[in-house]
Formats: sequence, structure tokens, C-alpha cells
Amino acid sequence: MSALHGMTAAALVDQQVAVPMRLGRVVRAYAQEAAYEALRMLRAPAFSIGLLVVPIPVYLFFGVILSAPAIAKNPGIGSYLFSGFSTFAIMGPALFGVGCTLALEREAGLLKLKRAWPAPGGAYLIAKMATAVVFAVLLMILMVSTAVLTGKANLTAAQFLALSLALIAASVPFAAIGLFIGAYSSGSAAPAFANIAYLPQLWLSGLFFPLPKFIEPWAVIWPAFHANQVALGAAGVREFMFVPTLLSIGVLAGITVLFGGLAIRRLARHG
Amino acid sequence: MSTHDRLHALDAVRAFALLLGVVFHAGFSFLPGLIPGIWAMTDTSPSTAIGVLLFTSHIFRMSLFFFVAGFFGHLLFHRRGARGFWADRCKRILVPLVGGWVVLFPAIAAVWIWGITKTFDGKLPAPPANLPPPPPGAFPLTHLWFLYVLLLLYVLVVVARSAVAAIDRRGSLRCVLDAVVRGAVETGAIVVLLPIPAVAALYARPDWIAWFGIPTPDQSLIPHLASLAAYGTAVSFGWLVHRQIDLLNVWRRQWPALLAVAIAATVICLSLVGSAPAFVPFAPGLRKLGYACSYGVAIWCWSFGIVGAAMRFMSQPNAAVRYVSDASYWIYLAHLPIVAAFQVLVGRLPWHWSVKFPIVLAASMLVLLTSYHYLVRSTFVGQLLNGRKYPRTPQRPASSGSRSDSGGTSGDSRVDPPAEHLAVLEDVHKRYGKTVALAGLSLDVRRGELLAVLGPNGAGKSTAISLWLGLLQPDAGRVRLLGGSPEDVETRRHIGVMMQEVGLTPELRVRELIELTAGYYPSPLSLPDTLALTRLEALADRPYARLSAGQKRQVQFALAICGRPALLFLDEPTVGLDVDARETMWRTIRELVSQGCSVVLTTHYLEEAEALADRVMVLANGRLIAGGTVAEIRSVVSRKQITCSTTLEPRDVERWPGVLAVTRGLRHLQITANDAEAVVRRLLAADERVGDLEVRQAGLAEAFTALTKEAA
Repeated sequence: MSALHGMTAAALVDQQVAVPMRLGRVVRAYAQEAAYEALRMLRAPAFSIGLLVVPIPVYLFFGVILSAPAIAKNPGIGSYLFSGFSTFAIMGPALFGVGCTLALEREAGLLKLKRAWPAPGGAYLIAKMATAVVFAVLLMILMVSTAVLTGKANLTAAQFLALSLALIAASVPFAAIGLFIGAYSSGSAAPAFANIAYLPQLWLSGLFFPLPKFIEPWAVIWPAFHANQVALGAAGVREFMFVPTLLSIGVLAGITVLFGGLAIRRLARHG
Repeated sequence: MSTHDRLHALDAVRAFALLLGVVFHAGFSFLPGLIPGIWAMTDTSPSTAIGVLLFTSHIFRMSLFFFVAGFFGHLLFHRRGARGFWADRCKRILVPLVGGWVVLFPAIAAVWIWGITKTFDGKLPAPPANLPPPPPGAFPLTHLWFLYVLLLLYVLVVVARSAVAAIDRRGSLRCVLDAVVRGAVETGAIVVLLPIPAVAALYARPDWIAWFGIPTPDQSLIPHLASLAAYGTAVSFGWLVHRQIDLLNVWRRQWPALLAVAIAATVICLSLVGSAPAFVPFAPGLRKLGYACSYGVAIWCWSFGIVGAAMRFMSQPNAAVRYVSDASYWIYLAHLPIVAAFQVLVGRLPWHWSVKFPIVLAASMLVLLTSYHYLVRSTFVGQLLNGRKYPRTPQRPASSGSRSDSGGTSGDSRVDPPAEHLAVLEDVHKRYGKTVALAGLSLDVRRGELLAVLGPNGAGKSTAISLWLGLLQPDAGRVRLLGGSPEDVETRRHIGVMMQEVGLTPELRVRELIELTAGYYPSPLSLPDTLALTRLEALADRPYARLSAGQKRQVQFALAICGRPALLFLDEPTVGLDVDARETMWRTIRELVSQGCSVVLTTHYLEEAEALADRVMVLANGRLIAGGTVAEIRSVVSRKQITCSTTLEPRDVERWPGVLAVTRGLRHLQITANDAEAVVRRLLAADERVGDLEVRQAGLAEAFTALTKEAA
């Protein structure tokens, strides 16, 4: 047997074919996949700057500076705008982060390779969802800090916490929509589809300003509207709770199952 | 001068026109005599100099842009055809128009409300009582109007083009048109002829605010006549100039004269309207006509003078110019709210305009360029706007890495009960739609052997491997992997895979990729061992995106072997590797095999199969056409290669019995034969002067070529 460069005394081939993998290692594989997925997203400036940094000045400018007179008249508007801009913030990583990277990696053949490798079932998709949740946690920390510093959100600590937890959970249905986009579209078309899923519903859900009367009844068809309602419901901002919170939770759960299911179906067949 | 040089110059011109727009808007709040409320901010320090600068730049910047757009429109139309043209225009104009508007309009509105509130010290003025009724199709297009109008004009130009092409089947009309254009350009008459439609439309307009030249069609989806006339001529003329691209050289010579006339015409215009905009319409009369004519001449003297100067000085590719050209589209799209926000910020400060204007411009450009560099250039936005996406970091050439063979041996090799066949395909059929990929293929991989699978593209190699990996299901037949099913993850925990053309996560470092993959296996190699084995120590901390193509293959190989697999699938592993790296990989593969690992290797490099393989399987059209050891394959095709110098004609030799193929080299004849001795005897008999005679066993390359030809 020839000596190989720099190797310690380990066999290159594991012949114990019958020995199954320990549970601890399987769990670790899931965790590692998620951790590295989050890490690579944070390292990509297009995602980390675009999705983590941009929402803060947007909230500051539109939700704090420009809205100061309105909030002075009605403090509830401050809470509503904080919730609206937070919803806007957590949607980005879920739709773009998940959708665009999945589509690109599918196209690059990485998904196929992961399926050929003994990667534990679904680890890759779970990692994508988990990354959206991690980004939502970071965004809520940033948003709450901004709101506390500027003092325009008019929420108590408990309300901040409840609203944040609600929106962190609400990032999951958007990540499912992201998976759906990533599973069906090509890498170059995914950003366009993600934008279609993002921009119109931002405006049409009435997150930032009162809607014209003829659009208002249609707000209920948008997931963003329900995410915002769940957040406001969790924080108990009664003035702006338009539909029962439980209904909104049901809608979001349905969206998660529907889009997540369609995505998994597609990926299981095509990779 | 090549076509390419011309395009560098015109790219720069387009960027110049767009950036001039940023300057124009950045200076707007400093215009003398600006009525508060017309712009987001009315600065406390107005400037005549800025008035002159803005007046001059506004004469030509949009016409120049539309001229270049027409020029590139023709180029695109003829390079990509009508479908490709519209697909590209939708992507790069319609999508930015719609997407940009949705994002920018609220931002612009917000900045305007903020600024006007500040201008009037917190009290918004009541709108004037007798506002004129909104024009038909009223819509606040904002500064994105130019995209909308450009699309409209492209439609008109393409329709006109089809009409001309339909009428003028023999092309004689177009010949006349080209000759007229050439004559007008060469004599300089073009600067008088081209503005006629716009001048007429402007003069006829009773409400023409002359200082701002061509009225901006940003208020309505139905553009007014003056803008259609002015910009329509610009786009169509650009379209026509690209038919005779050498016309650009005329302006290349004329540019000093053109710019001199442009300055003179501008001075005349300024003397008629003054450096401060008067927001009242011109009274009809000689003065209005003189102004309109001078203005029209100035538009095209400036435009062609600038195109000519660019041809003269910017024809060579230049990285900085190229960067700014790419950035300019994004900058112009995004600039308005940012520029206005800075104007609002400094508007009430008690500083001189010569301080404030540069601050507004510099701060806006800083924000715009930074956002371009980090959010656009290497992302999908850049892909959309520029038609290409730049990599974040340039690719590095391969480094050969340190080469030190230190000691250390591989220790134990446990022996398991014999399972002779590790991977089996039994009479497998697979079709994709109507295409038959595999037609009854049977293959097996034995313990501890290296099986090379050869075959031309489309032979079914990748399909066979995909079946073994569980990525595909057979239509008929049986697939077994390590005694189990390939779809069982437990089975796959003992295989390693290296695929062709796979893109791994670019942001992860080599070390992280290996750790991640090793984590899928029950008892993988340690990270240092994997790195040492594949010679990747020096690259461990480098992000995958910053590796050369060859280095990426090395990393993929490391990922394939890091799990200590019993069975390894390598699909074209050494493509793109330098000789050193390939030697290292071969040595590692041999070492793996010597320790009992079985390997399935597909390759185009026949020498690779000869160097490594225990057995070779040749596929063609989804069938196995030959199989055995390298020597067996060679003897199955008991062919010899005869080389000699001779005066005999290849056509004659081809007809001899025992001869399979004849090719003529530079000085030699190459004969492939299955009865070499008889052929040589006849050669010597037929040509006494035969020389340089050489007979050798056919290599795998020749055998392979011959076999697949027969199967086809």
C-alpha cells in the first residue's frame, strides 16, 4: 500500500456496510445543514444587506419620520405601521431567500447531488425554511430595537414580544411560497416570480396606508394581510383587528400546507 | 475600427445622457426663479450658473438618449429577430418600468410631500382653485416616462419597418432612404432637417413653456404630439443610422464643428429666454419661431457632436467607462427620490449653492453607486437591467498547490463477507418520451474493481448512473445497489458521488462544504485527512465561488470520498484539471481501489480508462456493445494500426481485403486493419518505395471509435 500525502492512519473505505447511522449524527446533519444555509445567506451581500438592512431605514423614513404627525394624533397608527413594516421585513427573506436560492441550486444540479448523497430526507428544504425563520428573528430584533429607540410604535414589552413571535412564525407560510416558487421556476425567472408574489400584496394588503374603498374588501385574499392580522392579534391592537385572529392563523396554515406540499411533490419528482 | 469599438463609444454616450439627467434633477432646486411647490424643494441659494448648465443639458439629453436607443434597437432587432427583440425589450424596459414605478412612485410621493411641507414651513398650500382639467389618460409616470415612451416608439418604428419591408420588397426604396440619410449626414444638413417635425409641433403649441424645451410627457399615458415628434424622429433616425454604421465616422470628423454650432445656437436660445426659467408661454411671433429653430438645431448639433467626440475619444474599451455605462441605467432609474431627499435635507441650510449642489450630487451618486455595486451588479436586478450578471469576485487561475509527499499510511481494511456484485443493472429499459435512453442494459460492478463506462454523448452513461443513484426509476428491469434499493438512504450512506457540472453553494468555504457532506455519513474521514488526500489544505478557507474550475472539481472529488464510501461514482472527474491535479486524483483513486473501494467511472479521456480501469464497458445507443478488461477490449477488436509513407492512393488501399479504414496524414497513410500481416505483404508488393512502416496494436481510442461507429 503506497503512502499517501499527509494522511493520518484512517482507512479510506468503510466496509461496515450493515451498520446504521446513529441518531445523534442524523440530528447533527439536520442542524448543520440549517446552520450553513443561514451562514451562506448572511455572507451573500445581496441577501444580507438587501433583506436585513433595507427594511430598517424604510421603516424609519416612512413609518416614523413621515408618519410622526399622524401618530401624534392617533398612537394606534404607530403600532399598526410597526406591524405592517415588520410584516414587510420578514416576507423578504422567506420569498426571495428561499425562492431564488432554491431555483438557482435546482438549476445548478445541487439538489440532484443532495438527493444522490445520503443527505437525510428533507434536510435541505428544512434548512431553507429554518433560514427564513432565523432571518425573521434577526429582523424582529432590529425592528423592535428601532421602534424602542424612536418610540413611535406605542407597544408594551409584552406586546412587542407577542407580535415578534407571531411574525417569526408567520415567516413559515411565506417560506413555503418561496419553496413553491423555487421548485417550479428557473433560476433567472425566480426573482421575477418572487417580486410578483411580494410587491403587489404589500400594497394591496394595506400594510402601510388605508386602502381605497374598492380594494379594501379584497385585502383578505393576501397572505400578508393575514400575517399582519395575526401579529396585531397577538399584540392585542384591537383598533386594527379586522378579522378574527384564529381565521388568519387558519389561512396561513392552509397556505403552508398547500404551497409546501406542491413544492415537495415537485421536488420529489424532478429534483 | 471594428463594430465593437463603435459600441463602446455609444454605450458611453447613453450613460452620459442618463447621468446628465441625474445632474439635471440634482440642480433643479437651485434654479433661479423656481416657483415654490413645483419641485420637492426650492433652495434658499439659487444660481444662474446652474440655470445655464441645466438649460444646456436639457436641450439634448433626452433626444440623445432616444437616438442611441433607436440605434441599439435596430442592432438588437437584426441580431435577435422580432421575437427576441420584444422579449429583450420587455425584460429590460417593460419590467423596470412597471417594477420601478411600483417601488419608486410611493418613495417619490413621500419625498415630495416631505419637501413641500418643509418648503411651506409645515403648512401645505391649498391647491390653486382653477386647476386645468387633467389631460386624457392622466397618470403620474414620473421620470420613468422615458421607458414608456420608448416602448411606444419601438412599436411605431417596428410597425413602420414592417410596412416598408412589405411595400418595398426589392429594397429600392430603402436604398434611396439610405442615400438620403447619408447625403444629409455628410453635408451636415441633417441638423436642420431632423428637427423640423419637433420645431413645427413646438411652435404650434400655445402653452409651450419654452425654457424647458420639449415638454416632458410624464403626466399622461397618451404622450402629446411635440414629444412624439421630437423623440420619434430621434428613435427612427438612430434606427436608420445603424443601417449604415460607418456614418458615425462622419461625426467623428465633424465633432468640433458640431459642438461649436451647438454652443452658438444655445447662446442664441439663452439670449431669447434668459438663464432663469419663465413659467409663462411664449407669445406667437418671430421671436418664438427663431427660438424654436435655434433650439431644434442645438438639439442635434449637441447630440451628434457628443456622439462624434465619443467616437473620437472613447472607442477603446475601458473598464471604468464600462462599469459606469452598466451602472448608469440603475442610477437613472433610482435617482429621483434620492436626489430630491438630499435637496430637501440641505434646502433650508444657510450655505451657498456652490457648497450645497456638489453635496447633493456627490451624496446621491455615492448612495446610487454603492447600491449598484452591492445590490444590483451581481444580482438578478443587474441581470435584468444590464442583460448580464457580473460575478462578485473575479475568477482566479488555478494554483498548483503545495506538493509534499509526507508519510503516514492508511491502516486497517476490514473484510466483510463477500458480496460479489455491489451494483447491478439487470435488463434495464428507460425512455424519455420517445427517446430510448437504455434498451435492455445489464451492468454490474464487482467488489474492489474500477469499472470504466465509455460511450459517446447520448449513449446512456449518465442515465445508467442516475438509476444506480436512485435519481431515476427504470421503466423495466432491476436496479440493485449494495444489495438494497438505491432509494433507501441507508444504502446510499455507503456510496460517494461526483457528478458533472454541479454548482455547489458559492458562499461556503471548502472546509465547510466538506464538513457538511461528511456529516451525511456514519463514519467519515476527518477534515484534515480529506484535505490532505485531495491536496486542498491551502484552499480550506477559500469560498467555493473563488476557486478555479479545476479547483472546484477537486473539491467535488473531496466531497465524493469524504464519507469513506464502499462504492464511488465518478462522472467525468478530471475534466478541467491540470496535469498535477489529475495525477493526484488518479493516485487517490488507485489507493481507494487498493483498499477495496469499488469505483464506477465515466470518462471522455480514454487514457484515463486505460490508466485506471480493471474493466471497460462501452455503451452506444443505450446498449452494451463491448465489455471486458482493457486488454480484452483491445483483442476483441483485434485491430492493428499500420502507418507508412507511400505513393499509393487511400481510395485504392481502402478496397483491399482486411482493411477497415484509411486516413491520409501529412506525409503518412494510416491503415486500420484486422488482418495486418496480409495488408503489409500487399503493401510491400504494391509499392516498392514504401517506408517508415510501423504496425502497432490499436489503442483504446481507436478501438472505441471503431466500436461505436459499428453500433451506430
